[in-house]
Amino acid sequence: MRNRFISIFTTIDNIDRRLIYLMLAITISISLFADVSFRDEPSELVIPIFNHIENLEPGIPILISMEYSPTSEPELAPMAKAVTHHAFLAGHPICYMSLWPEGGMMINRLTDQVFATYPDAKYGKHWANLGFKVGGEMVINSMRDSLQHIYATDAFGTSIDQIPLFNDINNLSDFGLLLSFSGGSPGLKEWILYAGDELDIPLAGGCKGVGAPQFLPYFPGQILGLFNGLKGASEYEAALINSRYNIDADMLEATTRMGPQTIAHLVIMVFLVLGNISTLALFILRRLR
Amino acid sequence: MKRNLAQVVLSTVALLIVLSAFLPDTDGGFSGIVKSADSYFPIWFSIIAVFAFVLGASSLIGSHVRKIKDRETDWQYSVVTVLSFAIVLIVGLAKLGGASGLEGDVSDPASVLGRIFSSVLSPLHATLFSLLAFYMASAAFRSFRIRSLETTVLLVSASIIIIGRLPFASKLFSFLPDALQWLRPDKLSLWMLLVPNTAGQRAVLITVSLGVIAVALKYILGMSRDMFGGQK
Repeated sequence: MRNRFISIFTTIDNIDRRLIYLMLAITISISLFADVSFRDEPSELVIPIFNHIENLEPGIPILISMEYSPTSEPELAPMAKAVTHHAFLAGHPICYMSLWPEGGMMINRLTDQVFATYPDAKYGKHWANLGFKVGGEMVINSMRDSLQHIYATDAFGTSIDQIPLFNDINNLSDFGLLLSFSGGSPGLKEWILYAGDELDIPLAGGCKGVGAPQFLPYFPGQILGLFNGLKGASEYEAALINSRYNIDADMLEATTRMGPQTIAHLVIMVFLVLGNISTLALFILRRLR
Repeated sequence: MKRNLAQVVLSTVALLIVLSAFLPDTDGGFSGIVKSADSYFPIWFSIIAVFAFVLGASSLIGSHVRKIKDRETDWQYSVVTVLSFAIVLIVGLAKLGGASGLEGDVSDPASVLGRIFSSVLSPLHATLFSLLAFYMASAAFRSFRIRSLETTVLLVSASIIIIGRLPFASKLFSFLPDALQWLRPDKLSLWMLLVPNTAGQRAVLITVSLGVIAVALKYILGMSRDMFGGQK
């Protein structure tokens, strides 16, 4: 009998990794097709960002810097979208820029999707796109003194002097909030070191779930808040849904995407429990021998 | 001689940048000169960074062309690299299908480059990254075991973080009395990230920063010239 148990637990202990892959693929696929989603609650990491935008006087511009590529787009784009919806509804013009070459495409993709849902949104008045600029932290350094110093035109070649949104913006200090959605370097860390700390401008950002431990030492002293992976975006969406804005929940992505992620986490937990039960059982059974 | 000149440029620029961070914001005098010089460095850097792209690209092509010529192992992949590079470069420079002219938006989604980006690069990136979920699940199953003190600590902390990141984590254990609410997985996971993690991360940050200052001083004072290359 004991040998039979040893055999069963050894099989569980050495489970073929392809079975883990298969289980994960099946459960994620089912949750995707069944549209499984869970409503989150705002945490203390995102509430300060939400409240800051709410308390800003309407008309004060917000800068969103998008430092990510398609690799991290599923995690970071929902954050940028949620903030864009919020800023637009709260009456803040948004200026987009990127320190990553792929960022220009990411900005186009996001603005095409979000502003298509607001027919009254006008380019140049409600939002503008400065595109990608090479130089990383040096671009931030230059923007501290003068925006016009480093950006003569927007991403489409229009002189920024002809764009109404930039009429009252001379440098980074004229923005009410700086946000960096960062998939790596240059990204949020450079914004903290070269803009937030130097100018004492409200700064916040978002990063992939695995990157959050790197940025949390800057919270709450140097950054207002942090979107901690997809969950951070989903928490912000929850704050937005519960707010005064009449926003259609279908326009928000993170809550929907959290469904498959949650299922995947649960599957991993099941395997962790199974693995540890088998390890403990084998230990006890071998001792009994 | 060349190296000495490079060293002088490096030391002068570095000292001016460091000084500008400590000098007061005034228009005239020594402080004004340093501040004025410092405001130009980012623009010079941006211009030099563009040349770095050219240097990087030529180095990439050079090494792959050499691989093809010498028929080294897996040279076929180098053919793919060189061809992809050439196609994307030509399509991007010519702005095929998009706004033409020097000021036309190179990232126009309607252009051929935009379509390559959304139909080739984007799915490839997303596919590669999503595969990580499967590897991580398998790696977690193998390594998070109660085998030693270290792996047990890893198992407990990973489990708290995983459960704490579930959207319904705040509802788990909500039956606990107020005095024990800190045991809720969402609160515990946030505490782990904000307290032990932050302490460790700050220790690493401060140590690394001190190391960076030491290395920077070596370069500024000319005690290390390996970055100029080829010195025997």
